[in-house]
Amino acid sequence: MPTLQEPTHLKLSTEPAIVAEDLVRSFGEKLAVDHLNLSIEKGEIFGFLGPNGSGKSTTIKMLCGLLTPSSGKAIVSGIDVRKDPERIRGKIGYMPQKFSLYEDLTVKENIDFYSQLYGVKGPGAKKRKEEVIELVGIGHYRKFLAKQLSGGWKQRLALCCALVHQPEIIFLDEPTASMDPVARRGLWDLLFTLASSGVTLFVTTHYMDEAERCSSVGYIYNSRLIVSGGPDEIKRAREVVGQGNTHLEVVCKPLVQTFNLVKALPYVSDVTIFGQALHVISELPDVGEQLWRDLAESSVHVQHVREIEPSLEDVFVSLTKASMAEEETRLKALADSTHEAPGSAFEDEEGI
Amino acid sequence: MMLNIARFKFTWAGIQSIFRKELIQLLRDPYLVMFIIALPVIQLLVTGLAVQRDLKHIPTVVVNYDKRPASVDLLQDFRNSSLFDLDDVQSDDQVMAQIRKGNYRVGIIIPPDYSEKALAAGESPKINMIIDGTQGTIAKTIVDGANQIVLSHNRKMLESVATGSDSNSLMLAATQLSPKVLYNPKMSSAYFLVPAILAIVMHMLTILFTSFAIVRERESGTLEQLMVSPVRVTDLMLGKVLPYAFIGILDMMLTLGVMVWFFNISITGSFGFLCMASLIFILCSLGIGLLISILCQTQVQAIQLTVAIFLPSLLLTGFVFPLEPMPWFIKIISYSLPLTYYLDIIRGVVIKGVGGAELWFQTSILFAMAVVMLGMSILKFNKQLT
Repeated sequence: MPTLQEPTHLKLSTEPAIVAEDLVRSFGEKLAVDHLNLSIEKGEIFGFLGPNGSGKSTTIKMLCGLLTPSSGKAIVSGIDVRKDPERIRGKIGYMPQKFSLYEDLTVKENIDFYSQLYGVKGPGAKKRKEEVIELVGIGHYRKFLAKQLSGGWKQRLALCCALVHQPEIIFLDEPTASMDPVARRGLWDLLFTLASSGVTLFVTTHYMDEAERCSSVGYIYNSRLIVSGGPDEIKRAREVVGQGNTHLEVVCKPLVQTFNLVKALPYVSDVTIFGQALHVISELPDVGEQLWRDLAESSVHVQHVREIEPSLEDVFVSLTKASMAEEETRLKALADSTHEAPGSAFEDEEGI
Repeated sequence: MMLNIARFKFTWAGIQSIFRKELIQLLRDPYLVMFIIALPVIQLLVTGLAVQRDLKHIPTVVVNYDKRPASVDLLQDFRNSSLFDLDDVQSDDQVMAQIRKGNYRVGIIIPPDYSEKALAAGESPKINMIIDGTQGTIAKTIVDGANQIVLSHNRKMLESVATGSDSNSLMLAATQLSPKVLYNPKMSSAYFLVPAILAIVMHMLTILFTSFAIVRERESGTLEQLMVSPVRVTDLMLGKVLPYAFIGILDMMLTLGVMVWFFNISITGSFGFLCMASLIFILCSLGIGLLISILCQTQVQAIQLTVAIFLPSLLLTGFVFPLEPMPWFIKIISYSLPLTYYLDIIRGVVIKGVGGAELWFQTSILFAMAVVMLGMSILKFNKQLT
C-alpha cells in the first residue's frame, strides 16, 4: 500500500501503465477476447470502444485480475496479472458497468467501508476521504442513502470509492451510460482532473464524443482489437484513409431523397445523414466535383460539397464493415473448402 | 485438494470492516430486524402450541360415588369450564374401560366419603383423576387445568363459609386432586418436542442468515467490487459470519426464554454448557449457509439448496421419526447432519440434566463440522470469476 503523498507513478514513469500481449480469453468454444495487444502510457485516458458483447468488459475484468486470461500476458502497473492478481488489487480502482455499491448504506458509510477495505487508515485516512469527497463534489450528499442518489451522483460515489485508496490506474466500464449530458460532462471533467494528476484511466464507452476526448482509443469488434492509437492518428491510419479515400460533407435539399440517390452512385462506398448534411465516403480521390455534377443533374439543390476529416464514428463504421467483409470471406472460404455450402447461408451474418 | 494454508490468514481490520458493514446493513432493514427477532419466537410459540392440541372440550368420564351436594357442586365447576366435557358412568371399571378404548381421555372418580371429609375439619377430601398420557403435552394441560378448577372451587367454598361468619370456616378442608397419568407418567412429550422444535427453528434460521450472505452480493454486483479489493477471503468470510453468530446467540436466548417461561420447561442441566454447545451449533449452521451462498449463483438457487438440506434435517434426525429403526444407509445421512447431534445435546441438557461429560462426543462432532464448513467456504470462495 503506497503511503499518501508518495509519488508512486513518478518513479517508473518510463514503463507503460498497462501492457497486454496476445491476451486471449475464451468461454468454452467462444473466443471473448482474441489476441489483444495494447500498451497504455501512464496518465493517459484510454477510451475503449466497441459494440455490446465485443469483449470490452471481459478485457477489463482480465486487466483487473477478476478473470484469468486463457493465454497471453497482461502487465498492469508492472505486475503480471496472471501470476499475481492479488498484488494489483491495491494499485487499481474498478468501477463496473452496473452500479455496485451498497444501496442501503449512506454515501459516507460506503466511502468509509471502501477505505477500510483498502486499508486506508491512520491519521491520513480522514484527510484522504475528505479529499476525494471534495474532488468528486459529493459532500452535500454525505448522509444520503446510496439508493436515493440519481444516476449521475451514484457514478460519482462509485468513482469516489474507487479513488479513496489512491490507485494508479482506474478502470471504468461505461461510466456514463444512462447519465444526462450535464452529469456526463461533469464526470469527464473529473476524469481529466484525475489524468492530469498522473492517474491512468481505462474507460469503455459507447459515445463517440467521449472517444474523441480520450488521449488514445482502441476499437474492439467481434473479440478483436481492430485499431488503437490517438484519435487523430487513427483518422489518418491507412486502414481508414485507404488508397486515398475521400470524406465529403454535402449540404443539400431534399435530404432523404438525395441520400438514396447518393447511395446508388457507383463511386460512393458509404453515405450517412448528419443533421442537415450528408457524409459521403468514396474510395476514389477527388470525387467532389463529380458528385456535385451528378446531383445537379438530378435536380438536387446543392448548397455546398466540401472535403472533411472523418469522425471517429466514420472510422469505426468503415473498420467494422471491412472486418465484417473479411470475416465473411473467411467463412465462405472455410465453407467452400469443407463442402459446397450455398453462399446464401451467410446472409444471416449481415446487418449491424 | 491441496490445502493452501495462506488462505486462512486473516486481519482484524479486514474482519472488522466487513463486520461493521454487515451490521449497518442488517439494522437498516426493519423487515429483516423483525424477521430475525420475531421469527424464532413466533415459530417456537406457534409450533409449540400446535403440538399441544385439544386444549378444550376434553372428553371426560365421571363416576360420583358420593352424589351429595358438595361433590355435585364440585363437578358443576368442572362442567362450567370449557376444558372438560363430562359424561357420567356408574363404576371405576367403566371409567377405565372407556379410557382404555380411547373414547375418553380423562376419568374423574369421586369417592363415597367425599362429603364427610369436605365438611369435617382436619381431613382433606380427595378426588382421583385418571389421564391418558399417550400425548404428554395434553396430559400436562389436563392436570394443570383440573388443578385450576379445584383451586378456584376451594376458594369459592372458603369465601361462602367466611361470609356466613362462621369461625369454624377456616377449618374447612380443601379438596385435593390426585392425578394419575397412564402410559407416560412423566408426560415427557412436551419436554421431548419443544427443545427439538427450538433446535430446528434455530437451525433453519441460521442457515438462512448466511445462505444469502454472498449470493445476494453476487446478484447485486457488489461482490465484484469486493473481489477487486485487497480484502482477504478469510476476513470476508469471518466478517460475514460473526454478526450472524451474535444474532444467533441472541435468538437462542429468546427461544430458550420462551421454552422456560412459556412452556414451563426448565433446563435441568448446565446452562453454560448448553450455551457453548449452542454457539458451536450456530457456527456450524452459519457455515452450511455460507457454503450454500458460495456455491450458488442466484438467491433462488440458494433457497432451493437450503430447502434440500433442511428437509432431511427435519425428517431424518430423530425429530419426527425415531432414529433406531432406520435402515443403515438412512442412518449415514442422519449422522452426517449436525441437527442429529444437537438434538442429543439439547434434549440431554434440558430433560436429562446431563452435560459435557456425557455429551462431549456430540459436541466435538459439531465443532469439527463447523470448522469444516467454514474452512470449505474459505477454500471454495474464489476471488476470480469463472
